Amino acid sequence: MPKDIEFSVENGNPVLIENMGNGIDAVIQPVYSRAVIKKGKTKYIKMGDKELTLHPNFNLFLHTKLSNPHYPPEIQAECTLINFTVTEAGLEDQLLSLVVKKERPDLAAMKE
Amino acid sequence: MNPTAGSFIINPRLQRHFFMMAIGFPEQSSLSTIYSAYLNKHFSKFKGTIQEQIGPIIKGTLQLHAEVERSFRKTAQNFHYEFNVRHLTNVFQGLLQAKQEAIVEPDNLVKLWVHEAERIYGDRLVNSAHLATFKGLAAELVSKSFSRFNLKKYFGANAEPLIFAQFVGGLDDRLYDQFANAEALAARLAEALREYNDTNAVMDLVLFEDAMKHVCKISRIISADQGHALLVGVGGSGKQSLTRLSSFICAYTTAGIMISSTYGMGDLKTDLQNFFMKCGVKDEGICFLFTEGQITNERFLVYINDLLSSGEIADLFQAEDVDGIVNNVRPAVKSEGLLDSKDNCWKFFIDRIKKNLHMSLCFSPVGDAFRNRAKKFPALINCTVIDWFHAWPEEALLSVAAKFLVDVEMASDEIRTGIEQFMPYSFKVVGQFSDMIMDQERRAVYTTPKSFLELIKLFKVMQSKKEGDLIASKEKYETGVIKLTETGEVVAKLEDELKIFSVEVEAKKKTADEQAEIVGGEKAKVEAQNAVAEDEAAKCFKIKVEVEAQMASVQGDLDAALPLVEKAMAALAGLKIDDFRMLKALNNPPGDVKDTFTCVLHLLAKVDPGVPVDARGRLKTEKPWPTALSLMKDPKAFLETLNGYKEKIDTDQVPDSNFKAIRPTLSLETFTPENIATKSAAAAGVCDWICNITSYYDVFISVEPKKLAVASAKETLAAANNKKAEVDALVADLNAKLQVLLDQFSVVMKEKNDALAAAEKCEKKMNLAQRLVGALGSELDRWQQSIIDLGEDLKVIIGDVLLASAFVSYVGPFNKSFRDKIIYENFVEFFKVNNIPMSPVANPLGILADEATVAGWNTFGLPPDQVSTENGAILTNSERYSLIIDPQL
Repeated sequence: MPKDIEFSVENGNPVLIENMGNGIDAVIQPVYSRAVIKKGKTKYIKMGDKELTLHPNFNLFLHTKLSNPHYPPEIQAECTLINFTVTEAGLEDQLLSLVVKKERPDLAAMKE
Repeated sequence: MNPTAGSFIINPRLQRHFFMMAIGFPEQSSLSTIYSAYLNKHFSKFKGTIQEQIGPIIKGTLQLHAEVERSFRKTAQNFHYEFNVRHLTNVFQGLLQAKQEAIVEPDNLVKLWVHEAERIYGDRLVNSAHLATFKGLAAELVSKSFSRFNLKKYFGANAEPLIFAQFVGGLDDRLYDQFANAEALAARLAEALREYNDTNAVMDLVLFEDAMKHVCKISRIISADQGHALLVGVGGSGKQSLTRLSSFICAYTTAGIMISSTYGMGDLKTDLQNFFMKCGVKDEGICFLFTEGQITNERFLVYINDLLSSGEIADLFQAEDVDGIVNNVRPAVKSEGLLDSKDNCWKFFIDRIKKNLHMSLCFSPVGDAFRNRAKKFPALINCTVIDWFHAWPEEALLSVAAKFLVDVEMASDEIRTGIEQFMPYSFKVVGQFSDMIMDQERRAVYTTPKSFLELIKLFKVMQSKKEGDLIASKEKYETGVIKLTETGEVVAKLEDELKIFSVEVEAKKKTADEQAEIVGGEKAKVEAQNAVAEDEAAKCFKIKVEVEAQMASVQGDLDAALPLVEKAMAALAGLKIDDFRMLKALNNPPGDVKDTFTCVLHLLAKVDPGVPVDARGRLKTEKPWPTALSLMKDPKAFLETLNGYKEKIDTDQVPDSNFKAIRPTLSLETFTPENIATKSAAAAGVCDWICNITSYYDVFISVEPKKLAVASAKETLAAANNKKAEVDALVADLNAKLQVLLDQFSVVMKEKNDALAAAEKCEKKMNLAQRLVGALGSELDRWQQSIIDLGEDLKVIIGDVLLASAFVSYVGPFNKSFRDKIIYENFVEFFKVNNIPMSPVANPLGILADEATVAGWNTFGLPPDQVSTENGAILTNSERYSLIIDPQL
């Protein structure tokens, strides 16, 4: 994994890490905390003993399936936590749109 | 000690072999005796009034210790609330730093004591409530025991900071003294930060009061021998940054380890060896910054524990390395005057480690990890000085917000104040909601100073971007409107110009036409003259043809006569001088011969001066023969005369009468050369010449009128030629005049065409402009409206962006109902109360994503409900990387 991330950081590929547990590998800590070193106009991230050029298009997405994960404040401060858990109202909306798609495809087409 | 863990339970089966003895807390009197020994010794050279305070201070310390021990009990949560002799000792150790230069009056010593006690006891307290309790205890004690010193200002609400530090006099000063006031402290630390930033990667720290105190605390800890700091606080409260600054103030190098995927015990050992070599052999100061995140292997803490507790790590160096170190430090040991035994050298090395290598451990109090580690590795708590980072006070948040927002342009100070206050407010509100969600859903949401800073950062980024966008599009519209107005003006101007142009063109046209007429007239004249000239030329040509024909016929006649002459000549050529001599001999030549020479005489009358002529030019001789003979005296000359006779004829020197005179003779039948030849050869030749020359003469005479005609025709031709030349000259003159006129005409024509072209161009331009105005005229109103709308947007954008950035920064972990409560019931209300401009309908999504983008997300499968859309907006707008909690995926 560190190799993939190193490559992506330098080449500007987005990285999605799925199914994380309750912590993040300390190796990528400099990446997710965006410990950027500026040298002139170029930005570097020091990961392990390597200094990587940070490509402006690089993006990192972390994902967990845990419904109620407990991430320490350090991680919560460095990353934006987004709760995608479906609420009742949200589920209602989603189901409604599915039903509309099935029953009244014309309306669904109009919406799109 | 167990190498895999710091703390352990001794198996009872092992225990039974030993005698167990518990060492309890010493008696007050013993402690008093112990510490007074130290203090008395240290302060023996100080003023007497200062020495008087030693007793009360020892007593006070013991009292305070007892009070603290009673007030702060060790619990599962506050497992480090353990107060023992170590802490008492630490307080007195702090007092031993007192120097005569700084502690001149007894109140200095008391202040120092209060300060040290607060460092040892107060700094490890976990929250501000506990700290307040402690301060109350201390204040009570001070007011009881040291009432004669005025120390009240350091206690209670709005207390003055009581801070001792080694850099009061300057960063290089090492005198432990008190800062006179908060301003002096701030100035000194600002200086330190500036110097730090000059030589290191820039840290943009805001040194509010708590931060400054932390710097003083950390530097106090790490400047003491074997001083290790344990900094406890939630992530992003500035533990590492403040450590770096403190380490810089203490003139240490801040060192750390760099975790990589393969970092293990061996790497840690290597790093530690490096630190040891630098500190022990090279005698350099190092502050080893070690954070919780770097503990990828719990066994790291075994080494750390050893380092903290004794400064010595059991198996860090191999035997040969130890020898090397011993040899390296040997000279230093000798110069200290010590015996350079191996043990001494090693001890010297370890002492240097204790003096030079200081750890700064950064831990988070959240969760069980810290407690478990502290339990296993007691040195983490016991051998370090704890500095507990409390939540940033609102005042701190405000000053940080103010500092970072100072470069954001805002319409008014009221708005600025509102926005600055919103930052700590929103932080506080989200903190409250975090507690609520913890209570209601057991969901752990944390906000740390780091997330607070992230909000400010995000706000600044979004603000400049959105405002830039708005200004740019507003400028576009404004330029459009200006252009349209300008174009309208241009059209009007062009119309005027076009009028002028058309008048000009008309005038030019008229001149050109006039000129054309003149030129036409002249041309006609020239053409008439040309016709005349051509006529003349034709006439001349005709005459010339005639003349030439006549001349040709004359020449033809003459040419036809030429054989006659030739014959005559040939006849003469046939004559010989001897023949003439024979003639001379004849006195009475035959009649024919006589006739012949008589004819010659006739012919030569008036031609040869030797021939006698009468008044009318006729031959005047009675006796032609002797005359002829006298002529023939010189036969050569005579023959030449005859030979040249044709010339005479051709030049009209021979009178016609000469030939008339011989006609009768010629008509005689006997007068033929053949006949005469019988009588005389010379006469025959002469006769032949006569016949032929006469024939020639006849022809010549017959040609004469023709010659005259030719001459007259030549004259006519010359006249005709002259006339033609005259006419030609006239024509040339006219042509020259015409050319001048034509030149003038072409100039005029060019002017006319130029004027026409200019008019055409002008018209074209005007047409284009009119089209533009026509096509965009209807847009003008819309654009103007847009400018007004954008202007309105610009006024409220700052509030909208603030709301949107707070939305992105804070609400992600919450569910829908919490989000709505946070945004609409709290943030929006705050905006209204504090008059922060914002759109009438608060809608953070509107700023974050437009409808097209949202539709795009939906096509990619994002459910179209509100929460998902919000999540999408947060995900795409966040400056930080996203951590997605999606259990249904």
